[in-house]
Amino acid sequence: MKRILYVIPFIFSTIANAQQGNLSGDLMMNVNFFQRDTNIKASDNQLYDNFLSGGEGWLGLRYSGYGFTGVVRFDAFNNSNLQNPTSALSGAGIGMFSLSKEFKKLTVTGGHIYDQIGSGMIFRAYEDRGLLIDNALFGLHLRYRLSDKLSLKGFTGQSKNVFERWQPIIKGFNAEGDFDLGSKAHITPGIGITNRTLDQASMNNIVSNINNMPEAERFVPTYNVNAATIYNTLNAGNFSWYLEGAIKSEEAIVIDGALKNRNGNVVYSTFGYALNKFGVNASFKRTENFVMRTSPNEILLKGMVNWQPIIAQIRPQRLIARYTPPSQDLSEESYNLNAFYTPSEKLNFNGAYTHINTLEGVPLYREVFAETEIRSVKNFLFHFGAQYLVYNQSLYQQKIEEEYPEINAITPFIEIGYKIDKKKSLRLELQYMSTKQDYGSWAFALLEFNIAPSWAFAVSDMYNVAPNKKHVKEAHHYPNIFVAYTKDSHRFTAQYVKQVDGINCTGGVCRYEPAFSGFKIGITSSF
Amino acid sequence: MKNKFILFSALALWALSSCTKEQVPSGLILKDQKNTKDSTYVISTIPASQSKHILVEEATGVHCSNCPLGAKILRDLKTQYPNKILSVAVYSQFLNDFQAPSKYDFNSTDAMDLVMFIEGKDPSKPYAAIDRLNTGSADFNYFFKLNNWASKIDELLVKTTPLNIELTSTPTGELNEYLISTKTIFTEDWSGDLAMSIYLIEDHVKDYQDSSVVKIPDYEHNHILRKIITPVPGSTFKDATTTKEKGRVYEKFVTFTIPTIPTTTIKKENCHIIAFVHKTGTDKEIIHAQEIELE
Repeated sequence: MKRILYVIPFIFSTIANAQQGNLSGDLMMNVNFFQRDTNIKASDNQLYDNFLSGGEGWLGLRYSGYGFTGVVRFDAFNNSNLQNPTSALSGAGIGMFSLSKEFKKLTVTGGHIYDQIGSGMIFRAYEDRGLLIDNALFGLHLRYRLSDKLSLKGFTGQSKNVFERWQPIIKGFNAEGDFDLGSKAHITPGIGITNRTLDQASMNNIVSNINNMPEAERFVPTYNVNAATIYNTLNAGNFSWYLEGAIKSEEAIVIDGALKNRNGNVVYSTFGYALNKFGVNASFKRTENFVMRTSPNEILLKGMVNWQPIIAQIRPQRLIARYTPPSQDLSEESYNLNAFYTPSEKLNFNGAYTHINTLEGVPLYREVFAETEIRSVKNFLFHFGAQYLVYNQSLYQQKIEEEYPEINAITPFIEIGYKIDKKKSLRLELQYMSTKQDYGSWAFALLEFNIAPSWAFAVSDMYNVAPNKKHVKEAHHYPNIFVAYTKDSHRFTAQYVKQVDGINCTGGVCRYEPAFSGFKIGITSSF
Repeated sequence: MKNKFILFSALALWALSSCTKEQVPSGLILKDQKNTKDSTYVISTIPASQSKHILVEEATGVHCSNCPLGAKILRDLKTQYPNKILSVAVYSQFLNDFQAPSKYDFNSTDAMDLVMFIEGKDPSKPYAAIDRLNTGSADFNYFFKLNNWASKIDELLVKTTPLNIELTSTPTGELNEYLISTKTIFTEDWSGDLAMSIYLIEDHVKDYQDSSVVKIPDYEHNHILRKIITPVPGSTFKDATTTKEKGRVYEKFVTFTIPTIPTTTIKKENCHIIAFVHKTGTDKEIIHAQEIELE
């Protein structure tokens, strides 16, 4: 009897512990103080002229327990310039929530869903706060593991638009496998299908547009567009190969400012081979009329349903990043070849060539890039290289070709890192972009001082050293002073920024942003 | 085997659903109605501007108990502001099921097409589109609540029109066929794409109507939308450009036949023609409207 009495509390305690949940969360907040500067055209909108400050924040909570996973995120925008850099967005509320339950190989999720099919070419619901991209699918998502090697998923819902939803309905299905081919090779094939059905209001707008078109150009638009993709990753020893091909049915899309009825297709492939000290990667993409949006009434970064891989390599160097070519969804044929050689741990070489045209053969982008990294000098890291660039500014930035001819630029750069001691380090970056087009030539210098694990200080300046008088009256400095403090899981940043106007890209998605002048404070934390 | 069967079934279902052919969307005009007599020219003597008419497209229903109140409010407003307000009663599907004791079916495909074109759905009743202006409301984008009709109309009374509309209606000689001749004269410069819509409406039809007080067996239904003569989104002017200069004239001629309705015969003597010019695209604002008797 006594033994039973001892065991009972133990059993209850075990049950209670097993059912306890796990709560975690994250916080991100930005505050901007706008400082009017007419010299660099950081002015003439309400943010700089009247509101003078703004910000945004995201607080996410995740709870797993009792067999469920619940996620909720509170978003707040107070005169935020993230959605549109020249106007203020204000609003607050539940930015996303979801509830998931897994039972007997089936996972059911209701609420806001982030997922993709293959590389994302026919469907990708994701979040990127830098450009305020958040196209989560609000609806239902099911995933079923048929076996260890095959899983199915299906979803339906409406795409998120800040605190509202785009009305068209999106549905999708994806089957993905995971198989060994003998003992040395492995494949993960998949197929995916999506369907988008327009709502009546969106169709009314399309019909109204078509009715205003010349008769010869009118067509019958469809409510439904279907897309299908097939993809596979092959890994065999030192060799890897990803291939994906997708097609979509006819629908009304915007081409050169007018609605046209087009179907679309895209092929994307990456190939990699690495052996000892040598490696090579090659990528290819061909895109024809592959626009995937909630409706053709949405433009720029609105209503996106998919994401197209970017072939060009995204460079961290500030001057080179100024001319990053975004993926084109109407007409693009692009190649990239990258090779690296690492003769030792202390030395490596990297070279790349990128070639992008429209399908009609109009040159969009060329890049020849080479860099090397040397670690053989004690406590020093030397990194230097150069890029030769040809960039079709009129097409990428929607500008008049006669005013903005293609940019030819050479940008050498050098980076020197010095480890002072176990905690302190210094980093110096110097870059020079030589070009006669756009704003002309630039010089960039950055000095960064780090005291691990807590402090980081950086000061930099971007100077229009040889301005192109056609577009710029006089040369300006664009300084940046940055401080960061990290304590445990908290990170606090503060910076004074003058930033030139230009294209801001993240993950191959780009938009034009005007100049920025002012202070920025940021907080990130997780718990 | 079972896994392959499930996968194949899912794909087959999807393929079958995507093979079903869609119908042509409502309101699409692949070919403009053309009359060889349509013309455009510029006149040097500009006539005096007409007084602007406000067009009220009232979503109403036989089984809508508040709709007689809505009709009375409109009548009172028309009395209070003579020659300023034109109205059309749009008997779209909601609350218009044809059932005893009604003698006539007021429901029409044109009425449903119209509300779908304006709002994208059949609105609650009684609600009204007033010059197809945006309501700024979460309820409906273009249909105003009954409580707001008077204040909105009051607001619009001071507006002027940059164009005149002249209308005539002439029998062609064929049974129930009429030629509607319109002349749109710009008395001011205008920039923006426009189109013209023309309706046939009928008054004095006595039939059953629900009301909040009693059921009315012989209620007089007026301004019933019987036919949208032009395409639902409107008909563009011949050779129109976005910018119209002062003195620009567009003549448009449309022939139509009075429709046959299963439950009744439309009485020509009770019919009117309403023609109005409106913006095209996402902004549907009505610029000016005109009404004449059919005969």
